[in-house]
Amino acid sequence: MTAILTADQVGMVFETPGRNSVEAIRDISFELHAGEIIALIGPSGCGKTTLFNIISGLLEPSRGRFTVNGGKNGQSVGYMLQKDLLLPWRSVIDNVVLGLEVRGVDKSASYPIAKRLIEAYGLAGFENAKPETLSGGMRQRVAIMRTLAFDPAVVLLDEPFSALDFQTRTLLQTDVARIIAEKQKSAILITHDIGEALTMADRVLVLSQRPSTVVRELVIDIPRDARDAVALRSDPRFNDMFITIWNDIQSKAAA
Amino acid sequence: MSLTDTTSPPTQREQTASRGQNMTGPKWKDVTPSTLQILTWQIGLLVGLLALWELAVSLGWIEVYIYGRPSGIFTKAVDLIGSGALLRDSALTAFEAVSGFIIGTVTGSVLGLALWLSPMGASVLRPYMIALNGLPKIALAPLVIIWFGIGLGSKIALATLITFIVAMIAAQQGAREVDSDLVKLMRSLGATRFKTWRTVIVPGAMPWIVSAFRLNVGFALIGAVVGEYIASNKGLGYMISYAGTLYDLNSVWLGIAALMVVALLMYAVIDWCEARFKQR
Repeated sequence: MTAILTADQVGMVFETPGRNSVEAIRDISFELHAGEIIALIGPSGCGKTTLFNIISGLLEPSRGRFTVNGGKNGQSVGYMLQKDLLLPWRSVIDNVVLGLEVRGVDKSASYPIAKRLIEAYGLAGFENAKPETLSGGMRQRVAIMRTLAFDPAVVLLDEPFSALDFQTRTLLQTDVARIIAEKQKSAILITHDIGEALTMADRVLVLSQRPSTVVRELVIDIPRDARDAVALRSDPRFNDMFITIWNDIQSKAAA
Repeated sequence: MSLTDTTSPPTQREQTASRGQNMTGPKWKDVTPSTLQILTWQIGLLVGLLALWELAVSLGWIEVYIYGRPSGIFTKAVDLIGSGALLRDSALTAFEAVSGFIIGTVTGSVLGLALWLSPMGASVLRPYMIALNGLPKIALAPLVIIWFGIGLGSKIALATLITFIVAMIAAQQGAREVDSDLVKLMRSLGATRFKTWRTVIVPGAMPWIVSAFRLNVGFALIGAVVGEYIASNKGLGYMISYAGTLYDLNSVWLGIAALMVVALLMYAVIDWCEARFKQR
């Protein structure tokens, strides 16, 4: 399998003059393969945001190397946050084309791409609606479309559903995992929701408290199409893995 | 199954509870007054106050030379409107205020927004902006009159200067208040600083800029009128201060009323622009 993204002994230390330096991340290594979704899960304050900033190219790691698709360019990463970050003064379609627009793609070329996404993922007819008229779930759908429109090599999901209600969240988890699979994208999901990690990911990496490092790698060997968020809950393997991860996080948080 | 069993009874209980609450609900009626009702009261309030004032002067409760009287103001208004003097003075003051407003607000907003592009420039200018923000800007009036003379130019310059400061500070603040995650998003998409500014910062700061427009209607009029108070021989500010020295209170009130009309017209124009802007 080809590695789309490689983290090679990545470490991050924040130096503030006159204060103690803070080591956020220590020695994190993993590979993200084509078409795979990895979930990074850990106790709160485990440096997830720092890792996120490194992956998206906003921060340079102080140690180790982070490479995307052979290159070292953070710009082939598309990301999606808890906040949908839609521009309120733009219509749905103009929000979806934002990434293409930044890359200098003309509207005549970007609109058809956006239109196809909007129609394929259940927002047909809302092209010209303003974000304020959409529900939270619909807004997150627009955010994932904006992320996919410019065809990034890796999709980075940073707790993307945590602001949504339970029902919408459950539906979107399955949906987004399916969309990513259909588009043959690779993704990294950062979350603190074990159920979400088990629903969406092929592998789960459990992170420790700061300085954050990988303490467990868990391969989810339940086929993705059998992993409907609801069906999964009655699968005994789900419970076992849930408890394993829970214990990891608890013991690392206490230490 | 057991889950639904345990959750349904409370739901029913809640429903009956809320039904019961409606019956013993708030006593006051939740009725929105009609526009006509509100207008009637608004006009009634004005007419009532004017009538009370007229009555107080007629009955000798208050002195007419200190307070003026509505009937006198009305006669004065007919007089000055007929001669064209009131319109001429109003137009002049409005022209000064509007010119100052446009020049000051536009340049101030642009500069305030542009400061986002240069963190260095913003940091250097910060203490100066704080000092200017705290300064009662009208204190600059004598300087401006010395620099720009006693004619039209000094009034426009004063209105410009005041509105410029207000607009610049508001625009800079607005640019800084834009969600930093939006900036992060643009960076991650590979946008240049300028592209981020155009796409996210300028539209995001617009509500702040528009609210500075409203403030600046008042400030532009202050600039024009105070300029006229200090040195002028025409305009509403001159009319008011000259009539004041003669204890011609009816003219003073008329000038004030004319200023209100000018201000209301300027607000109306801004409302109209804002509505157009929102439609897009």
